[in-house]
Amino acid sequence: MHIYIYDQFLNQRKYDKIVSKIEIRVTDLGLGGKNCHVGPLKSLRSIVKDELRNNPKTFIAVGNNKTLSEIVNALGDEDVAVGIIPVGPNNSIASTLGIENEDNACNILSARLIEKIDLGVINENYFISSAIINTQGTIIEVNEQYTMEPIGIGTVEIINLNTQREQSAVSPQDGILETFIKITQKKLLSKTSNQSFLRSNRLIINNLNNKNFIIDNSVEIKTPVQVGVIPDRLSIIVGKERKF
Amino acid sequence: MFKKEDQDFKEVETIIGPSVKVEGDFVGHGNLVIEGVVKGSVKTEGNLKVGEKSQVSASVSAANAIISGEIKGSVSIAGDLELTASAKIWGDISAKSICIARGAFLTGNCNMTETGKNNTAKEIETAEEESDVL
Repeated sequence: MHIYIYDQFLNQRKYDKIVSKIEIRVTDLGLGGKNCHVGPLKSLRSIVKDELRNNPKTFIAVGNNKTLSEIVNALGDEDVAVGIIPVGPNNSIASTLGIENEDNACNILSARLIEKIDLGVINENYFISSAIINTQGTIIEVNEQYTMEPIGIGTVEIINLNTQREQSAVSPQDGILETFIKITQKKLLSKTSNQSFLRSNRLIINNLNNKNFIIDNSVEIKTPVQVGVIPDRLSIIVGKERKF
Repeated sequence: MFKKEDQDFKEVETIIGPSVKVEGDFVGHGNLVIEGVVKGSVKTEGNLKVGEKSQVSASVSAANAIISGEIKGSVSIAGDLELTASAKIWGDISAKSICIARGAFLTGNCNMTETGKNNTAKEIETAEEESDVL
């Protein structure tokens, strides 16, 4: 059985039409399942935990990056395929998976092309695409061998699934995380930026200014953090136009 | 390596940018580009490129290398080593083949060996003996 989890923001009236359109479309395609709506009294995590008892075939996030990220974290060690029907903004993960809109998503769910991808782990949390933090006060320990300390204002971004950059070196199926340290330097009349890059699967990161990591553009994680990767951890439904 | 520099550095495993300070023992398997500050040791099985503004206080070991910045420490290269005009090295260098541009600065011993590793005292002694026999 498919479990459709509709994020809380879809309870807004402006999404009524889209939600009913999705429900009709999946029924037409013979992909009907259980529709669960996240609300003030029912959290996404509790829905996932309850539904896992019924051995579902697929969990489908109807929403955005945050919805998918929360489902993956709620699943924990369970090996259940996940899919996404993107609605609204902040849907870079769906776009990278080759899923552009809700119509397209329903057809992709019907085709059920599944890829195994790595999952990043940051403390006890999983991330699908990236984890990002400010450079100021950030110290990165790599493979317990050496430390990297960015000098200047910018961002440290650890990437598993590349949703923004054009670098072809980033793959979510290589068991390695790519870290980009981007520093922007302001000069009198111009801005210049320089970038550092490393590939590793074991990092310890601390921020002396108590800044937090943001994973998948949605969830904040307190530092210090231990970052790693679990190869082929997530079975995810993808489109033919996926970017990896 | 020197002629096809761009090709060799297309697949870079690590780039230490100009705004990053690295401390400790760096061990890598792929190509490495250093543009920033490094203290400790650097060892890679791939090629190494040390940028013009970089400051390296470390013993360095790599397959091939192009040095344009400052290195304080020994440099041990298995293959080709190129020092460009802006390179400054305080330490011993050893490589299979060495190319030093006019303007480069080097304070230390310079060894050319088959393996690129520094000759041991015994090896030097043996070589001297062989030359005496000849």
